[in-house]
Amino acid sequence: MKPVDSLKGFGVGLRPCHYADFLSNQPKVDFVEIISENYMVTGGRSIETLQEIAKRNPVIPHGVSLSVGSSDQLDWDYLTRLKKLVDTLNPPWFSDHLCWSRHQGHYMHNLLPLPYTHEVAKFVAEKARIIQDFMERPLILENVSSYIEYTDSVMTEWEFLTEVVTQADCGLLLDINNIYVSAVNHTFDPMDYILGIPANRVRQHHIAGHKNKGTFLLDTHDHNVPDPVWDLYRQSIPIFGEVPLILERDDDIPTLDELLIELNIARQIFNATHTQHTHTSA
Amino acid sequence: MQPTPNTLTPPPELVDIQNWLSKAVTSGKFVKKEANLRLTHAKNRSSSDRLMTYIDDYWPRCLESLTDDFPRTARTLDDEWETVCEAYLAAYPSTQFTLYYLGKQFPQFIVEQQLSPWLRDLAQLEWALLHSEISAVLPTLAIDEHTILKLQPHCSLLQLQFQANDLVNETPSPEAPQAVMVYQWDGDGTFEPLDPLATRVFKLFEAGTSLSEAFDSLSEQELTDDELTTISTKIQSWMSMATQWSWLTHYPPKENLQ
Ligand SMILES: [Fe+2]
Repeated sequence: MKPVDSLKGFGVGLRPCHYADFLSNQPKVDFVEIISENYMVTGGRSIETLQEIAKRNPVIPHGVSLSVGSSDQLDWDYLTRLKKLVDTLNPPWFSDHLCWSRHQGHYMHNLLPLPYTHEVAKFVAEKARIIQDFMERPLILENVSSYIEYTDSVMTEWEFLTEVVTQADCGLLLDINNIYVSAVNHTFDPMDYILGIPANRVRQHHIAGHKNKGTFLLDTHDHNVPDPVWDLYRQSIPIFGEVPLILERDDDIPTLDELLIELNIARQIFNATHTQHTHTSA
Repeated sequence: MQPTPNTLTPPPELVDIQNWLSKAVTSGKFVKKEANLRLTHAKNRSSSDRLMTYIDDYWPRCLESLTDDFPRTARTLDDEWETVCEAYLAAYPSTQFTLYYLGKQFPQFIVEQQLSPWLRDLAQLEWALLHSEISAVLPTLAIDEHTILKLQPHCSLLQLQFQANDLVNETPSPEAPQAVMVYQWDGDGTFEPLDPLATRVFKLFEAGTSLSEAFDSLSEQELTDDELTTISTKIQSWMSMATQWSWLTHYPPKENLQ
């Protein structure tokens, strides 16, 4: 595998429909991200393909079923499989979501938000710490898009996120689209979110598109990144600086060439904003 | 580092909310009054409407996954397909971290529901084909006659009531029992029909046995004169078939594989 100590630049989520492009060319990406669980089954063609692609591209494993916020105990079978995959890829970190998706051993196959209380933050942070120690590698947690909020919550999402990652001493995968989606759904200012989290813990970004359902936004990853999300990314650059970014697309996936054109928009926005900001502050 | 013992105690309010919400999401049923108590409402969406976003995601996601995994069974059941899936998920909620395994108990469920033998065979064959594609193919072995052998994780030995070709081609036909080995070849699931004697041998390997024990066991069973004279040649040809297609591995397997 290509050894990776740190990561920079811009990449895409690796999806099976683009395997052939990655095997026959060297697409212009700095790294790729995979959905870990798709490679945690015991065999199949995907794993061999991934190993081939990983020889040429740094790969970040990004999970959807860690369920760190579940009141269930940790699933050691899952973690053992994940560790095997992560150790093979040797990434600088691995990621999953600050959410829950399993309860009493049953999976909801969705990323459900948590009640934002101090007790829940402490419990989740403790779990994240145990996971990170077991994996012997940094865990970075992603903010999810959400459609509900609990009456039990006593703080904002960004305060909760800060409490968890600080107590767990782990990094943040900040999804710019998820902030925007949740900001519209729960009527808060997305800049309050961006300014409210510890910037020094942000290790990676996600950017993606969503669907406007009229009365709310749905995080579908089936559209191009809309302008308000690009704007939010632009506004976040002076705060977070150079952070590696993955463009996510999971449905209505275009050709890799089209996706790379969209990824270039992120590059251009970063270069323009970062240069401008550096000049302004010099 | 070894796994830490499970000693974390979750906050009671977290358990309580997850008990309630997981039931609401997976069953699609909830009391509006309770949703109002537990969830906030947005400017233009009630708490129930907001909760429905998760409910509306769960069922289509599971249905799509089952339809992808059992396309022929879905077509055969036609209008009844969704009802059967709903009953299946109620009986066997997902206990796996990936949707790849959502249909694991589906063939068993079809048996329990006493659906037609054709559907029972079809679901069984479709699951075995999918299972072969997501299971490990371990390196081919050097086999001596005393090595304890077992079927590889990607192999399933099925005893069908119908011909496998008719099932995959969805050509309903009269019952014509057939045994097949379903296995992964070049990344895809495929199958090979087995004659009754070969089926007996691979059934022994399924349970874990050596070549010499399998041979002895066969000789002790009632074989026709014709079978007795050709048994050694036949075993040789099955073993070369099993080696070529990586059907066998050491027992116990060297890796902990599902
Ligand atoms: Fe994301």
